[in-house]
Amino acid sequence: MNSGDGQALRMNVEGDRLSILPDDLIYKIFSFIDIVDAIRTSVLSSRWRYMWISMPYLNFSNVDSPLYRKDFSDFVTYVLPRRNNHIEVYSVKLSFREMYSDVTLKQFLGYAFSHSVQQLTLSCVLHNIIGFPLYLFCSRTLKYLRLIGITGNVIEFPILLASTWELPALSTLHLDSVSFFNDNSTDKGIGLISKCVNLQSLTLNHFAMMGSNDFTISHPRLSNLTFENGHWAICNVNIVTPQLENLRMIDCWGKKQIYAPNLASLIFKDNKPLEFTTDDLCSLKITKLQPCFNDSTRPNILSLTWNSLRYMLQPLNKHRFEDEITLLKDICCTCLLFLSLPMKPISLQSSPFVNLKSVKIYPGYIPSDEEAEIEFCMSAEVKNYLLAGSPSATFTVVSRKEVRALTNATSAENLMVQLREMLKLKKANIETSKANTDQGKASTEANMVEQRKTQTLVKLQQNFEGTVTQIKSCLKDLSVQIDQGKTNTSDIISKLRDIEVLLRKDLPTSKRKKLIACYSSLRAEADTVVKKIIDCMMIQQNRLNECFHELATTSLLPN
Amino acid sequence: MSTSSSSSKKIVLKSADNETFEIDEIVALESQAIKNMIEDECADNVIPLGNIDSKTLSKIIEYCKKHAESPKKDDNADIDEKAVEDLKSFDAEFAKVDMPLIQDILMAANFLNIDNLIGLMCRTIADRIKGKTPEEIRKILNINKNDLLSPEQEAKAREENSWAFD
Repeated sequence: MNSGDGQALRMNVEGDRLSILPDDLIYKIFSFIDIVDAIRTSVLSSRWRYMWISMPYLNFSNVDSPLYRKDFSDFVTYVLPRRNNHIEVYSVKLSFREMYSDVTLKQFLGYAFSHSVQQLTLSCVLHNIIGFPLYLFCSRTLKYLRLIGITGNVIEFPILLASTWELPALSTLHLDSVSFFNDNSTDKGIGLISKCVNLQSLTLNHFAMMGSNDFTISHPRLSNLTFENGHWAICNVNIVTPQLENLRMIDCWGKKQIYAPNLASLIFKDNKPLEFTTDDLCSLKITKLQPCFNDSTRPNILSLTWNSLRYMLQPLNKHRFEDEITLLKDICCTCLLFLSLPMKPISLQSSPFVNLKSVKIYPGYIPSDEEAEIEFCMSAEVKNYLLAGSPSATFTVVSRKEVRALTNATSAENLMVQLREMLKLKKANIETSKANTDQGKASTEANMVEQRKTQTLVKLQQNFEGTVTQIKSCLKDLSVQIDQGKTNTSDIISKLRDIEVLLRKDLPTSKRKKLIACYSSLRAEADTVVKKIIDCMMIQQNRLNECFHELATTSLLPN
Repeated sequence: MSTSSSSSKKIVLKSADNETFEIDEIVALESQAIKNMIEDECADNVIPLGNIDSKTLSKIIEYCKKHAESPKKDDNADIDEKAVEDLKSFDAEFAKVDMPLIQDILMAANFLNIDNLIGLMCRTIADRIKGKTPEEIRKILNINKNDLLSPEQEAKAREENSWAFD
């Protein structure tokens, strides 16, 4: 490669390497800091003097820390006119505490949009529901938009999106804690996205509907859709998305009807059914169905009920399921109930799964240690129903004992991580307090040396009082240290005991050795830390001894 | 050399202090600059990197190895949440080095065009100067004394930008 360049780059090795970087990299650094910090770099050196004026990033927050708590309208009137007007704005991140007047926001957004902004993130800390001034959003360049409502109180969905905007270039939209408004007069669609013709990814997290309990998402181009944490009042969700490929739905409430013939990946966790309305059922292309576990140690919390599974699987009947599917005993229990109903018996239904690689059955309920192991039994019909189309599938029944062992191992791992952090922290604290003690000791010694030098009677008298004060302060320090040492040590001991108890229980064989090795290294570490705690006390004690010795050996009185 | 990787193509990099590093092609591809060279078929011999010392280069290779190994996000969006976490903690550990090395890595990453690494280093620098006074930042970044503003210039800069200093 070009070695001439190389020489130039290395010229300044010992000094300030950053200043010879291209502007773009310095802007990139600015992209991670607040505008206030960026402007403050103007006094660093001649290189940085005018850097901020041309940076394409505007991050403004008046919520993070007192340093940045500047007024937004001041920011608008101060920063924008001083910025180089010819430089486009690439991304904007704004955090508000309370909504500002439309005038200020309009001025700011007007500036950003007229400077071709592509990415915009707005987070608002709000105490009331506000109708968001969507009419201010009008851009031909904006590609990424994220709106986040943050509330400290009971209002869950503070941003009300009741009108619409003009964002033809928008491809990613992320809305968090928002309410949509629906007056039931139109087609119940979320009008907001109808004007975003190029939208590809839509994420709704914490959302509600006002004016109606139903809503429709209809979009011709949308390919990724994520719904999380819908409001419980939502009854019907209609999704009409011919290009949709990835769908993720977690805790959304409501009955869901989905037209998505190109769906390839589905992640689903909900207790309400999901229904596909695709005309040609066999054309569904789902290759990945993943029930979602938030907590891998508790696979029994999956809320994919038999009903929703049935809804999902019917259209898939003839389709190939390539991936591993993990079923729960919850489902099987429901299957068994299903069998007992005088309806179409499961043995007469064909298996919806083809070519499964593995089927794992987890217990739905884990009793505490004391209760006897309940034998798991699955009827031949159910087993056959699950496996008929998958001759090469491995079939595993995960016992309660195994799940419990896994849970134990995870809890022990977590405790050990906590203990490790705790030890690290305590060690750091000891270092600081030891430094303080050393300082105290040094000053005591210095005092004593001073005392020996000046042996006049008056001085001696003063020194005697001084030493007494020293001893008192020593005693105080010592008692504080003993108290701290006591708490610290008992914290460590109780964590160690908790871990010990867990490790004595069932553990997965694959993890046992590693866990025990980890535990023994932690014990050694704890030993060192406790030794240090005690050492600290010893140092304080020695200091006390010395002071007292000094007092006892220097008499004021003539012999 | 392990048997599993011995069949894959190797790329040899040479640092400024003439140390050579043999790496798998897949690791080298993390660098857009080297990727372009490979595509243009000018990477058959040793690639000399006259502006990167061996300490920086070995750090960069460590980063590229880890990132080349971990599954790409779009392959399998959700099973890989753990891998993403793993990569995050790797990045956090990786960035725990002193400022001169961070600056060296940033310069080298810029030269080799490794986008993620540039981002990581810029974010690390940003985190270290966040909320600091100009005096502290000068120290952190080791800004050359010859480049400092004169007291008059600095006073003027502060006055011009008083909004940020209040």
